[in-house]
Amino acid sequence: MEAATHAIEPQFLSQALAQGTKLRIGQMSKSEHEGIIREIGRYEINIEEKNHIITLLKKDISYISTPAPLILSPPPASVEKTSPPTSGSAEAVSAKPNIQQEFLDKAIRENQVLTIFLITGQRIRATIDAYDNFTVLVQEGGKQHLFYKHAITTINR
Amino acid sequence: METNLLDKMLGSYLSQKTPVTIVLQNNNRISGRIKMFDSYVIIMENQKNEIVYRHAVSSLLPALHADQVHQPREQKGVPAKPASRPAPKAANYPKQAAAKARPSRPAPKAAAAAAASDPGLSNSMKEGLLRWMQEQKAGK
Repeated sequence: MEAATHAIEPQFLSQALAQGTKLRIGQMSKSEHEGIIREIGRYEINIEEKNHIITLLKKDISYISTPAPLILSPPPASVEKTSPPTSGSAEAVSAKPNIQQEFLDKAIRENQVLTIFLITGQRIRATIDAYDNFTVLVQEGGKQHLFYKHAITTINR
Repeated sequence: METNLLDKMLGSYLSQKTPVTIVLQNNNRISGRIKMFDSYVIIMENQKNEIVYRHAVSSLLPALHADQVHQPREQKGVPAKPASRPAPKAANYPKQAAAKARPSRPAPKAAAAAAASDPGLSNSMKEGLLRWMQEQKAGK
């Protein structure tokens, strides 16, 4: 059922790698790194900060910010999926509504400005561009931020 | 996409015997050479020969780098941090201040940078820290 949702995070990271964008990376401990992506792993990324390579584990990253949007057009997949699931035989389980998906899809469609609270206590007001299983891509003041869902406590309208 | 970048980096630090700093999720730092590692733990080669669980690791960096990178970060991080663990900080600061001159970082930048940081939470701590930094600077 999740198959249609685009993988935003790998796309975002590989864009940043290709363009050599200077990223600001926030960690769960509220510390921040600023550097350029060098390598992308499944559970970690290597960034270059002041000529040294630092390995950051994704599970401890709360957000990644770029000065300019990296992914311009949100993939259509997440917008199309707003209709309620049809009673197809293949998707017997999807009778249960996916609340998160509905919420995020609605926010993307209506371009709502949302307040996102992180478990570090930080908050940000932004519009959602896209999301995938583990991350939410938002835009705020011309900047694009990739928030890991594991760092989010609440999203308010 | 590398499947296991951390293994790769640990392997190269191990073979080159590079001194590294491991930052844990609770922001503690462990420095030393890597003695060995497997998929769950890393054994460090330092006075204590610590065994570090990989699930607690937040980041891994070459040790030489540790001072330069973390100074500005700590400054930024500290004001917003909860007051629950003051002890390690108190131990860290004098050492760092002695080690090298701090780049003066204006407070507004920190505020702007953490676009989302909670303003009310940390003002008094921030002021205290700034005052302390100025005293240190004046003392030198």
